[in-house]
Amino acid sequence: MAKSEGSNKVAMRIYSVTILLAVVMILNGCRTGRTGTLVEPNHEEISRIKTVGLCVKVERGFAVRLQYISNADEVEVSLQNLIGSGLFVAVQKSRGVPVEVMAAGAIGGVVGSVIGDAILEPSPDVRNTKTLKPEVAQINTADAIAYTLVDKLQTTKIFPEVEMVKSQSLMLAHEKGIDTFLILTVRKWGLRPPPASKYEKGDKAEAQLELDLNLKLVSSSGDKVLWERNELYLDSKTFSIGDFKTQKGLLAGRMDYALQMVCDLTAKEIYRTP
Amino acid sequence: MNLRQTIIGFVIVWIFHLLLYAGCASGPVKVTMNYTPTGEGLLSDLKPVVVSLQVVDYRPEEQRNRIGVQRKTMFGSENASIISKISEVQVVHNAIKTELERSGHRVLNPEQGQGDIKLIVWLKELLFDSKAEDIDIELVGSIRSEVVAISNSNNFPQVSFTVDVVYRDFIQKGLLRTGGLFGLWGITFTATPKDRIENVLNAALAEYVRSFCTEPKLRKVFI
Repeated sequence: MAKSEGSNKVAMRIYSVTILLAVVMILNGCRTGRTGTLVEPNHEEISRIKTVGLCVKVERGFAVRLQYISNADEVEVSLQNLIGSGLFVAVQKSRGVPVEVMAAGAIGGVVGSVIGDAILEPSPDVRNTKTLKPEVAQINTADAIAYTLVDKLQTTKIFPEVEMVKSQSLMLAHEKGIDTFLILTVRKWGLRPPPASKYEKGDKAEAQLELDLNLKLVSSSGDKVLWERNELYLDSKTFSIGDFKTQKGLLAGRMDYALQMVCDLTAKEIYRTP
Repeated sequence: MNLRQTIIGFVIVWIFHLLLYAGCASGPVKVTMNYTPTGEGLLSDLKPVVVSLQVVDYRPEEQRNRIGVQRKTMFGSENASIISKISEVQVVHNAIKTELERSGHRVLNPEQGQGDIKLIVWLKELLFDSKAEDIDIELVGSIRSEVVAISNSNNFPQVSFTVDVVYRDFIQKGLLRTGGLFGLWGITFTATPKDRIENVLNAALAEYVRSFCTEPKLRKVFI
């Protein structure tokens, strides 16, 4: 009888975990991953644009994702855990939680992060990401990408005026005379293997720059989307990971070229004849 | 047989199949690529012309034998090569020809004459691949080409441009695709179905034609 109850408990646990995983997968499936035009350009409204406010958001920064299942992004998650542990202490302190409980929680978070880092350490993607991150430090922030894009948008004259903004605020729009916001979300960027290539270990592994973007033109009042598109930009040139490590400025140069291509693509997409 | 023995039995069968499938490659997957146009012709607003269209295979030798790989396990091991039933050059030729003809233009093969406009397309890449992305599988279809357009009927100089497109979609792996063994089977064996490979390649082809026809430099040649 007792044995049967024990078996039932095990079965219940397994089914609970299965259901939990299924829910996670359903929620994960809700993301908008497909590339292509989501909202066709409103040419009439777009032709009236005078000043655009460029707002850049970066969801996942630079990482090397050459392995089929890459864990390079989890380094950031692990760092977030450390920060999270610090925040946990601050929040619990404000709630008057006993120091022992608070410390145990914080130590648990830190230990978890350290263990996580230790497990992730041997991964080639994690190692390559750590090696190449200093190379892209100057361009791996939303501000840096926005500066480069503003410059390129002004040169290509897609819009009469372009202003860099931190957020999509109506008050800011009135202050700067912005009539439309161009919101560029970098979902992720970094290095990936070229399509159908064989994965090689070490510095010989082939890599190309990827830029996973969502581009959206929104009226300054925020009530009208004039154009929206998901874009996965893959660089036409491929290099070995060793080239990216040894040739100074190669990665930054390819990113600069990619951003130029994004500008050209935007121009083509929003002014194209339907 | 109690629950513990049942679970152990399942795990043994699962590991056996994992080892078996991870090391075994199947025969090639043959896909059909078709351009299915929608809406109004993308070049129908321009005056009708006669176009001589030529597509040249400019891909590296290793890409001519197969256009991608079907991967089967969660570790990305190769299951089968993906091969197009019709030659890739013909697929691209047919797609551009379809779009031009439905836009009211006449299309000739190079041996049939020069026409008003000569279009030469150097196909540099047509590939499919997949990669694990969190707990989904990312499917990518890419087509790259260089294009030269020469107008014979007006004095507009020859123009050249690149048309590069990448189409990406996701499929879920794991629990929802199979009921067996608490989802372990689905998590481990996630071969991309043939129809999903075709969907991605056809969507990439549609994006390619759209990008080709909306290229400002090409439109200048038509005027």
